[in-house]
Amino acid sequence: MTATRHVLLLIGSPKGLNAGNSSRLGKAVVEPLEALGWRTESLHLHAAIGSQETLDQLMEAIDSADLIVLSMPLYVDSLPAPVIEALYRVAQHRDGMTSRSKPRFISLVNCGFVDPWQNAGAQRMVQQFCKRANLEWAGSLSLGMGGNTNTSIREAISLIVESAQREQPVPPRVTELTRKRVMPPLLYVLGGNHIWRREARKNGLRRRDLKAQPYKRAT
Amino acid sequence: MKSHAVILDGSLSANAGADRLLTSVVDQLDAMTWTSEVLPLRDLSMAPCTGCFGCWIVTPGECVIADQGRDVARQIVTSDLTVYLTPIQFGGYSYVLKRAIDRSIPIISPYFRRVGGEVHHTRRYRRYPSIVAFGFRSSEASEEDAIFETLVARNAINMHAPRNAVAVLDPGVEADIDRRVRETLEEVIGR
Ligand SMILES: Cc1cc2nc3c(=O)[nH]c(=O)nc-3n(C[C@H](O)[C@H](O)[C@H](O)COP(=O)(O)O)c2cc1C
Repeated sequence: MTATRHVLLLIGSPKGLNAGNSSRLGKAVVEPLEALGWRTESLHLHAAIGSQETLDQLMEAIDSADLIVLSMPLYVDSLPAPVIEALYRVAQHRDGMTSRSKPRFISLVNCGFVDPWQNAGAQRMVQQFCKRANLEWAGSLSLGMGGNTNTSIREAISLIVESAQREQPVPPRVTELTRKRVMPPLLYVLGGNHIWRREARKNGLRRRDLKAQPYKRAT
Repeated sequence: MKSHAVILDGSLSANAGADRLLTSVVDQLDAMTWTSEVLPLRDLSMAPCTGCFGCWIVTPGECVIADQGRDVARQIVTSDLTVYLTPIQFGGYSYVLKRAIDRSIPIISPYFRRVGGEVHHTRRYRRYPSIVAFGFRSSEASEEDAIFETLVARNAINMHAPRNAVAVLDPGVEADIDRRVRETLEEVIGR
C-alpha cells in the first residue's frame, strides 16, 4: 500500500470554487483523480490572499501536496491580479526551500477568445513562477472560448488525468489535441456579438447603449 | 493643448530603484513638453475585477464597482500615452499594476472582430493612448524579459494602443537611466 496522494486544486477566477469556467475545468481534472483514490483539497486564490491565516493555509496546502492544479481565466493576456499576488506570496514562502518536497504543477488556462494560443504568454508566466517557487512544472492545458470542450479536448483531459496518476508530465499529445479552435473565428465573432446584445437586452439596454462613451474626451 | 501622459506606478512599496525610474520618466516627459500625472496605484482604493462583465452589459463603459478603479480607467483612456512602471513578476506585471489593468476593460467594447488571424475586441472610443512599459528587476537578464516584451505587445493589440515600446532595466546598475527612458519614450511619441 502506498500513502494516499494529495492533489491541491487552486482556482484563480473571481467566481470561486463552484461557478465559472475555471472551476468546471479544474474539477474535470481533479474529480477523476479523487475517484482513483487521491485526497483532494480546493482553494480559491482570491480568498487565500485575504488574511494571514488563509495565506498560511495556502502555504501549508502547497507544501504538503503531491500535485497542484491551477485553473484560471486569462485576464488581459495575463494572470488575474489576485492570482499574481497569491503566486508572488507562494514564491516568497518557498524561496530557497530546495530541501523541501517538490510538488508537481499543472496549469489550466482558459480564455474568452476562440484562439487557444492566446493563453501562451500566461502559461510561460506560470512556468517562471514554478521555477522561482521550486515546483516541478508538469505541463499545461490552454483552451479558448471559455474552455468549451469537444471530443478532442475531453480526450486531452483524460490524458492529463492519466499522466497525473502515473506521476508523469503532461504528454505532448495534449497540445496536439487542443491546438485547434473549437469553432471557426467568423462564426465565433457573429455568435459572440449576438450573445452580448441578448445579454444587454435582458438588462433593459438598447443596442446603441452598448457603445456608450462615458469617458469621451472633452475636445 | 499639450499632450498628456498617465504614469501607472505599479511598484509594491517605496524603493530607491522605482523612485529613480519614476523621476526620470516625469523629467523626460517634461523635457519633451508633455504633461504627466503619476498614479500611485498601491495607495489607491481599488478592488480587483470580479469578472462580471457589468462594464459591458449593465453600465456599458463603466465598471459597476464605485471606487478609484473607475477614475484610473477614465484617466487611461483620456490620456495620449499610458506609461507602465512595474517590477517584473514572473515575466508579467506586478499585482498592483495588474489590478488597474484588469479594471480597465470598460474602455474597450465587448464586440468581437477578427484581427490578424485572431479574435479581439472592437473599439469603444476613437482614440486610445499608446503604451510605454518600463519593467524593472534587480537581477540578471532572464527569460522573463522576453515574456514581458511579448505581453506588452499583446496588450497593445487588445487595448487599441496605436504604438508601444518596452524597456527592461535594473535601476540599480543602469548607467544612464535618463537616456534609456528618453530613447524608449521617443520610440512611441517621437519628436
Ligand atoms: C478583466 C478581464 C480580462 C479578460 N481578458 C481576456 C483576454 O485578454 N483574452 C481572452 O481571450 N479573454 C479574456 N477574458 C475572458 C475570460 O478569460 C473568460 O471569460 C474566461 O472563460 C472566464 O473564466 P471564469 O469563468 O473561470 O472566470 C477576460 C475577462 C475579464 C473579466
